[in-house]
Amino acid sequence: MNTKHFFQSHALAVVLSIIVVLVLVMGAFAVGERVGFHKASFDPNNGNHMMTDAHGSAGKVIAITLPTITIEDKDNTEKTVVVSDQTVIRKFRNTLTSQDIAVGDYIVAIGEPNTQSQIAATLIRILPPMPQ
Amino acid sequence: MFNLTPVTARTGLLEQVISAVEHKQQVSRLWRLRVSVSVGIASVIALVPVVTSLVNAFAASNFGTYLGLVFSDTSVVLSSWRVIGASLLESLPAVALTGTLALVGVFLWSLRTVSLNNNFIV
Repeated sequence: MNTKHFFQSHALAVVLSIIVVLVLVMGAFAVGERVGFHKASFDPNNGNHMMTDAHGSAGKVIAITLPTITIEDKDNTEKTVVVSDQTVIRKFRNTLTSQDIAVGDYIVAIGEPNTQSQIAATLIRILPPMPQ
Repeated sequence: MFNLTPVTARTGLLEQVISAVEHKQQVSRLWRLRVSVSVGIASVIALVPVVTSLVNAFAASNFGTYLGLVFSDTSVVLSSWRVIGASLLESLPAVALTGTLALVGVFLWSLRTVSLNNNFIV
């Protein structure tokens, strides 16, 4: 297949169509995200407790007051993670407990946000220290 | 009642019409070629800062960290797939990704248009 046939081929037309659909979907998602963030900032019940990444956080542990752990995220925001009996805590291949987490550890936590803008952690993984 | 004389075309009229149509097609093809080449060059130039922005946005987000959990803690992640899905979506740099995809699409479209409108590429 020479160059001209490639650029006139049906396959390239399909690829272009897929890219257009992806752009439309991602664009709609980005717009929806911005609108939702903007509306939440005006909500009197939630204006002071909005979180951009509500379902997870990764960063350095700066305070531990079990069952809550405070993390400093990459953009220097502080997020609170709540540990429960259902939370799985892991480091490498080992399963740990909340007592094994120390201030200064780098962790990643995912979970559901609650009404106090905390993350009820489903999984916490202790990471190696992140490069500066 | 009607005394119509048959109309005969002057000699060479057909060739003149075909020549005029071909000339207009050529002009139109050249115009599309110029536009698509210009758009292609502009999209390539614009891709540099946009891709840089995309790479920086991915580095600043936690997307890679959350994605790593899918491989390191597959069983836990699969049992709470909505949470990991939401985390991945929230951390995705949507604006930069949309811009990059759009520019790639524009560049490919310009290449296709150049290919369709020129007689130089074999």
